[in-house]
Amino acid sequence: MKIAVMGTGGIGGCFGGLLAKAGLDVTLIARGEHLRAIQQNGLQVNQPESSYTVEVKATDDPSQVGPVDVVLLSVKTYQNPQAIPLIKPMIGDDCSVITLQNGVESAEEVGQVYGPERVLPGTAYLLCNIESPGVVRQRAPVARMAFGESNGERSPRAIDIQDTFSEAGIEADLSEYVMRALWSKLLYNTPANGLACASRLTPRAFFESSEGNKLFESAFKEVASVATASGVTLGEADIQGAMKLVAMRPIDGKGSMQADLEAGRQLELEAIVGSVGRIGRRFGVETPLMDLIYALLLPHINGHPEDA
Amino acid sequence: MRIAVMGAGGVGGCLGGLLARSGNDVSLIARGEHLAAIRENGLKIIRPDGEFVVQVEATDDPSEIGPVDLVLFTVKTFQNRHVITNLKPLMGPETSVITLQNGVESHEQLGAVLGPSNILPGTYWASSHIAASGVIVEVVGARISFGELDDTDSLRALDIRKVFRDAGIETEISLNPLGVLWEKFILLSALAGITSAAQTRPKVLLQFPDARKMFCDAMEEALAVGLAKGIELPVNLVQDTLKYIDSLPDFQNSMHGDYEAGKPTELDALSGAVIRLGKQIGVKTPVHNLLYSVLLPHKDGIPEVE
Repeated sequence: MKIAVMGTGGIGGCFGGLLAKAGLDVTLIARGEHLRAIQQNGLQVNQPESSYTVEVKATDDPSQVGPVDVVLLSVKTYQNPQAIPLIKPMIGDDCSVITLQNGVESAEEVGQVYGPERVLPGTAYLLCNIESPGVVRQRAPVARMAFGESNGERSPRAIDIQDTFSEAGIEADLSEYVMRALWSKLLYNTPANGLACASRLTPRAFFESSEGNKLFESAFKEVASVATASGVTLGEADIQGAMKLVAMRPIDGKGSMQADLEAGRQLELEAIVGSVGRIGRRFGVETPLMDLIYALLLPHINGHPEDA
Repeated sequence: MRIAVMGAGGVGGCLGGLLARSGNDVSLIARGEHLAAIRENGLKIIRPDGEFVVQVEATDDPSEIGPVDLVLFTVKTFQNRHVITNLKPLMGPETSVITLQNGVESHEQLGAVLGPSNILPGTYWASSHIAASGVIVEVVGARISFGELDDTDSLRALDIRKVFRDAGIETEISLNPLGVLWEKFILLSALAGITSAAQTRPKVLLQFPDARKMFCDAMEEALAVGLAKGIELPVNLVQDTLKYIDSLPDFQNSMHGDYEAGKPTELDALSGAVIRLGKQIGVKTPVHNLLYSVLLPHKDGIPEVE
């Protein structure tokens, strides 16, 4: 199986690294110093208990890769408009594109360009980040992802991918209801990141504050009602599950978008918060809380506004 | 005129300094290093058109001062509940108290302890702060408006206005002092809440249509609360206020500055008051609810995370 990883950040690095280590034909698409370091020294992945380095092809030019069987789209969602056209030379006749990103809109964005049948929506369950050029940190012992056909079919190509990824040590759940997996993650991710960014506290610290619990519940309800209106039913059990997840977070654990906000980096605000309002409007569901959070954070979407 | 200034910060320090310079018998009530510096070196005021030092009585104990003609109440609102009873030694049979603070509840809080007829609600517009112990920097000269709670002109108000004007302070008597207070409150509660939560200065923030709408919605909420309480307010207040803010040069709201610096904020007197008064009178305030919720953990300064 020939695989290209579009975007070698934390997610792309961890999954691409494992696939390359298993001997698969992997090419990482990366840029700048990170790319140069991978080309010179290989990709180093620091896992909780150990670390490994793997020699792996890497380039910043997808046209040099040629057609592949699987593209893992693992750029940040705000790079989609640039990245999606760039993968064109790698899309062979039977190529599948797995979107391993935040939010619920990437599959549609890829589908609009290459046809919906190419796309397997996916989501990663893994805390990870680039530690330094050529080095990514995997913060959980197991790299887990869910993916599947949009129509829920257990297709031969999906089974093939699941088998190949599993052999590489990736816990790849082939989901028959993959959009539910994506929405479930967003259900948690949107309030956790949105409220943490607006309150400048970690999700758990804000959850523990006097108005936090109530606001988290309202926010979860808002996201759940948008998911439900869009065809993925999320109910009270899902909301209470998300509440428990926040309550169990480490008190000092930051959300990914919160870390980006504090560092003055570009934010996945559209995928994580804006999408809820956007999809809500499409289905006639009001999202007053998420609209306000979005309005508060929008000036920071490209980094601290003072630097603009 | 014998004047005591309760709270010699940016506003109180400036007014007290100007009133002392023009020959009034002024006592400042201050604390700590600021007090020590004023006692030792006098109070230094740095203004756009020059600076001066004035020797002025200063103490942290109002009972040393005794009854005065006028009290200027200029502490931060979150100090109200600790200091209002301290005013009692300053009160004689003819003493007037002007509240010059943010928020819209101070005159009632003081009136409950000192008697409503002694209180003149005031509003100030200024930009001044303590730059160092004993030193106040005034960026924009103070303008104040005050009046009688029963909306009448009074002799004492005329006397006070003369003393203030003689000191070079731009002063108006308002026949609708609560309306004036609310106008500032509607602007400030919305602006302080939204610029703090967005951590973005007005000039940048209000270029974004979503934030602009949120700012207007927050002002509409506070306006609805004021109108429901029977406060006389202009119909076009929100649009006029927006135009006014757009016309200002780049600045940072003071609560946003305090929030960023990890200092206590006046959240309770601003968004907190919009919500509290809205609840009392049955007006919904969803924008202020959100702003209050996310800022509340910081209201006493940097929150402890165990």
